Amino acid sequence: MLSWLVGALLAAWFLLTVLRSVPRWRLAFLRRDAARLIPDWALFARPRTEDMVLLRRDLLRDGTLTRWQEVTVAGPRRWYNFAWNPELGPRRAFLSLASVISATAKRDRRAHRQPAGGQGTATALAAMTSVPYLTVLRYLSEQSHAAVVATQFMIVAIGDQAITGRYAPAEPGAIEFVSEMHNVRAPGGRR
Amino acid sequence: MGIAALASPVTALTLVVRIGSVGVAISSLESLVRRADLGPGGLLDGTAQLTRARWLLPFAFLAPPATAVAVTGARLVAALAVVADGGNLAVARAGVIVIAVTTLLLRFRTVLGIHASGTMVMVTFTAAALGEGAGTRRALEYALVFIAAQACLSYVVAGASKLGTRSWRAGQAVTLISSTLMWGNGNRALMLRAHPRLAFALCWATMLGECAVPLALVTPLPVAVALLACAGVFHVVTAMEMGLNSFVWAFWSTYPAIIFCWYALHGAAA
Repeated sequence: MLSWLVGALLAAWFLLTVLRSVPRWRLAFLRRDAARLIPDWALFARPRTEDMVLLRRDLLRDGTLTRWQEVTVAGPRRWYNFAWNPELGPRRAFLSLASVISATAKRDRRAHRQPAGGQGTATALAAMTSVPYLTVLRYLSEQSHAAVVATQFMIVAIGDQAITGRYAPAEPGAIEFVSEMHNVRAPGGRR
Repeated sequence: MGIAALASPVTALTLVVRIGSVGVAISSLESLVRRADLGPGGLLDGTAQLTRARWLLPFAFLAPPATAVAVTGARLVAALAVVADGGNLAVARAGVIVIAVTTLLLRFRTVLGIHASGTMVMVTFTAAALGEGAGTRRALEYALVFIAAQACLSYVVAGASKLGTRSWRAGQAVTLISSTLMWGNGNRALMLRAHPRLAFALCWATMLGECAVPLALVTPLPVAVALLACAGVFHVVTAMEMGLNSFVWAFWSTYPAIIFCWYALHGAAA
């Protein structure tokens, strides 16, 4: 009896995976399966061909607004990464977050027919209340030093980075998303 | 141990979980050496992530980084035990159940940073835990058939979905991927740009090769082994070129299940 139960459970899981692989049902599964228990095997089918770069600028206590600076999510690739690659997790995490934030903002811009940026408008609201947005904001907030009062972040897509090297302000790439300016958590939890 | 030993479900599942556990041990260690990523100052923090669905709220206890470290540590210990003494059925059963449960808990906490290799680990170890938990020969066989079916489906869907994408069909996708810092390598990207026919051949070899893996179930055994060897080499190449180290162990671990199914389909005496 127990064996049949195991068989039925695994058969149901496999059937759901087959259904999940049908392109028209992909979004429906994505919306309902928060833990991604049903595998998506369409690996690199539509590969992102640009790097997503996280930039931030800060409002300091003395009123200074800093320049946009790249936030290094993880270090560069190393020769031994074929066997040991601890930085792939955070790199991939940021790629997922950036892709979702960017896609949400694009969808909203299309819905509201507004130009890129959309700060302080209804277009930014859906992205700002999303879990990925809050995750990036919390990450930046916790990394802020004591002189930072508020921070703003931008996600930029840059092609050919493996050839041209890391982000350079002179070649800023395509702006995918710009956040609002948010107050950050002061050290010790004070605001 | 000859390849014919994989006709036995006990031997095949033992090999599945021992190979898979090497990858689980490596990925758990990778998380532990960068445990700051699990806390508020890291992108793998669970606080906001655990609010992404209402049904995940009871798992809020997983949010603190110390809990994530403890769960990952338990996963590491279990994986090492299975690698070292997976031939002992009691050790294998306990280890596999701990790996399956901790893998699911970490997935509930956040799916960020988890690639398809992590999904294959979840599939493999959940099935193995159900099979070993039930403890019958039939349950072990169901687990192996499921793992082999998921592995074959993963290759076919990966290959077929690429066939539906213009950049893959046009032979540009590998060059474009190589041009990113995330997955690529500047020298390789320049080389592929200089040799577009090679880039075209690599794209089509990837797509057709992925679609061909399930043929291992229906071809003569030497051809099946050769197909799986090619797939195994493909994962080594993507590990070296793209840094996808965890794919090697996650997908290699499914090959004993595919060989088991080959024997089930063709008879152990074949």
